[in-house]
Amino acid sequence: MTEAIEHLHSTTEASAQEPLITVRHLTKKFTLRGPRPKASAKDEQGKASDQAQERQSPRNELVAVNNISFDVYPGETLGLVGESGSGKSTTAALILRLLEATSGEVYFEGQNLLELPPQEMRRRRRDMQMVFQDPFSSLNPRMRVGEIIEEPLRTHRTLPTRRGRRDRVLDLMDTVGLSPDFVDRFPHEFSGGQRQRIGIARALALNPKLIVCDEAVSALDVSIQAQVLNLLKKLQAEFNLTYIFIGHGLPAVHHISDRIAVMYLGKIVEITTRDSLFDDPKHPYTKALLDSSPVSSPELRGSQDELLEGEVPSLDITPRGCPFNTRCLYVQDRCRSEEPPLRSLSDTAQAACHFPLNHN
Amino acid sequence: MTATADFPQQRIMTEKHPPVLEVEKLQISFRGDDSSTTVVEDVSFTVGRGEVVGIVGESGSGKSVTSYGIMGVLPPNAEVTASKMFFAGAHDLVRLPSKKRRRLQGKEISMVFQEPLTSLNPLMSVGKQIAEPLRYHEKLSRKEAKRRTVEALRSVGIPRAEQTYSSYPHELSGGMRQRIMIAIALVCEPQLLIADEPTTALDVSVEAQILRLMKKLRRTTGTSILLITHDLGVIAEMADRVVVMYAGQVVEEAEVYELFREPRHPYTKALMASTPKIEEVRDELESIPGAVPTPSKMPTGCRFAARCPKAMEICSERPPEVELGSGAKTRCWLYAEQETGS
Ligand SMILES: Nc1ncnc2c1ncn2[C@@H]1O[C@H](COP(=O)(O)OP(=O)(O)OP(=O)(O)O)[C@@H](O)[C@H]1O
Ligand SMILES: Nc1ncnc2c1ncn2[C@@H]1O[C@H](COP(=O)(O)OP(=O)(O)OP(=O)(O)O)[C@@H](O)[C@H]1O
Ligand SMILES: [Mg+2]
Ligand SMILES: [Mg+2]
Repeated sequence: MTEAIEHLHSTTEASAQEPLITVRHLTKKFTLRGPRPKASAKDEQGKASDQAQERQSPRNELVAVNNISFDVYPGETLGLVGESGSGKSTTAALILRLLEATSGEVYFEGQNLLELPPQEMRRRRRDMQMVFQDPFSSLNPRMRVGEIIEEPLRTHRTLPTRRGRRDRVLDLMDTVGLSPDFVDRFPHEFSGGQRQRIGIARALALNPKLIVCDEAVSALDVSIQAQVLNLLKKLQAEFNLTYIFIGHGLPAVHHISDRIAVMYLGKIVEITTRDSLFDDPKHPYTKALLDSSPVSSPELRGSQDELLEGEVPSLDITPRGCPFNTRCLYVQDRCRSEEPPLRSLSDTAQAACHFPLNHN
Repeated sequence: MTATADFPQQRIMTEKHPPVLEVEKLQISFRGDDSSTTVVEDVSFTVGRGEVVGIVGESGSGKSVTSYGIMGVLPPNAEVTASKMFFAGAHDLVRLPSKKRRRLQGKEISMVFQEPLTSLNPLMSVGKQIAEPLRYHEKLSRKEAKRRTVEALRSVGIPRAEQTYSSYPHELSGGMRQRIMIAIALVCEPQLLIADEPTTALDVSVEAQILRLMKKLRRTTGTSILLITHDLGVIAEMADRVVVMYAGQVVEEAEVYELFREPRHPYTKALMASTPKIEEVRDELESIPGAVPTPSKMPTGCRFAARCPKAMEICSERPPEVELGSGAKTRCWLYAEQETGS
């Protein structure tokens, strides 16, 4: 395990640089209140509930993020994909310390955030911002657009004068393509794409180094999604921003990411460059996820054969061995007893699989 | 050139059987306090037997309202007119008395809504909800209805169907609930299934399972499907023919391969160019400037003109619906000279 992690440093093109973020053995357990939900109706294949295969975590505990390690380099976009409940949002919240980790480390420019006293963390958080999925519910409906964008400037007291803050707000609106005429309007007067721009302007206010986009374009129409993706790319080039981009639409993640991490049941099962992930997936889960995405043209119908069968097992009864063994087309005995560690398979690719695809 | 020469199979089929659904010049307005807004205008298309017709368009383009109009489930302040809206060549869906309509709904035409949780009854077991239309439409005994229900649960890929029969919606995952919705819609073997964004709220893995299920149903039962989506990927995966809607109108209709190979309307082109594709690496996506006009401020000319890179002076006049042969149509002045007639 530790061996594999040391490899992480030397494996990407960006590795000449120090990572902006280094995540090591990050784990988050949630304690569930009330009775354990009935799992029987949820798993489809019936395989996962086979008693011999189950490994129950201690009572009423759910491991949402399970011992994950990865690096994010300055100026890159790391995509984070995986089915619902795989732990993407929790991972983001742990990095920004919006949630307290159960164990593990998160280094930001070499400093372990999880050990920072609250006050220092608050100062550090200026460098890390988040843009959410639902632009409407994440904007206070009673505040004017100008006030929304200005809020972080006030909390962090970066600009002492009203005039200075106002200028900065107008500047930010210009950067994200919102007309300054809108400064005194309320969020409900805007379209989805415009609201998302407001969210991005607010995230940019403090000149962050990292922006986490959690399903930031998922709810938008394609033409508006295109505008927001273009804007994110433009801003990245302009300000050397680092993104963690969480999404369930693979085409959008493909478009924006330099590297991509695939999560399954709270673990990273594969992490590699965009092209290597899409052209030569190593983990059977990655392959199945790619094959499940709709084709982009009717000519490609039927080219994707390995659809994912069944549903994700419930997190509180994850299977013994490889977490994917209940749904894997290539499962072998070893996968049911021994959990594969994340290991390097090439210059770029790491996967947690005993029998990686196209690999000898 | 005879009609059968360029599209033999389909023409022969439609000559023998009337299409399952024919919609001509459908218009839907909502009455407000002192005015009325028209949100669907001049919408025409047909769905042939066993055919999957996709309706694609962005939010607010009128896809759901169109399908509610066909299904007859619009709120009371809605006004529906059409020069023709026939089901199976026999039932006039505009003027159908409500008793007869109820007999069609859930039996011959059924619908899957986008939100499975809100359209399932939380207090009734899913088995009972599937059995209900069988008892109502087919007057089956309790026992026989249960047998058919368990069969239906199996056919939509639900494991341990007998146990799931007595589960309640909240005990099931989103994907399972959507399968239940499909089971309810299909249990009476309808001729037409209307599916409004049946996979939009789901993970790609579950989406793929549901799409595969719908393909299989079409193959085995010959059910026609009107599939509504905003996702061109779902269209590419499923549809035989595609209807593109913009601001309440149909702007283009074409066979699916033709549409992806040669989109005609500038809006369709823009939609395709703004969709990211896994096979392509691009620095920038094309984006459409501006926004969709609101129903109360619809321009009289082309509704896309204000955002169209090819806009001309004449576009301020109402564009013609141009027939381009092989069943393709587009509502655009650029093609006004190319009309092939039919
Ligand atoms: N506050 C919490 N208390 C208990 N369990 C939680 C909490 N937050 C998240 N979880 C659980 O942790 C798991 C991971 O959730 P998370 O939101 O990170 O998934 P995700 O990958 O972001 O999914 P989605 O694609 O649906 O957003 C899920 O099983 C979720 O139910
Ligand atoms: N009951 C109603 N009363 C008044 N206007 C309505 C009503 N229902 C829908 N509309 C309007 O009709 C237009 C078309 O709405 P519709 O729901 O059909 O869009 P859609 O294409 O299905 O969009 P989406 O992709 O968001 O589902 C919208 O402008 C909407 O605001
Ligand atoms: Mg999430
Ligand atoms: Mg709709």
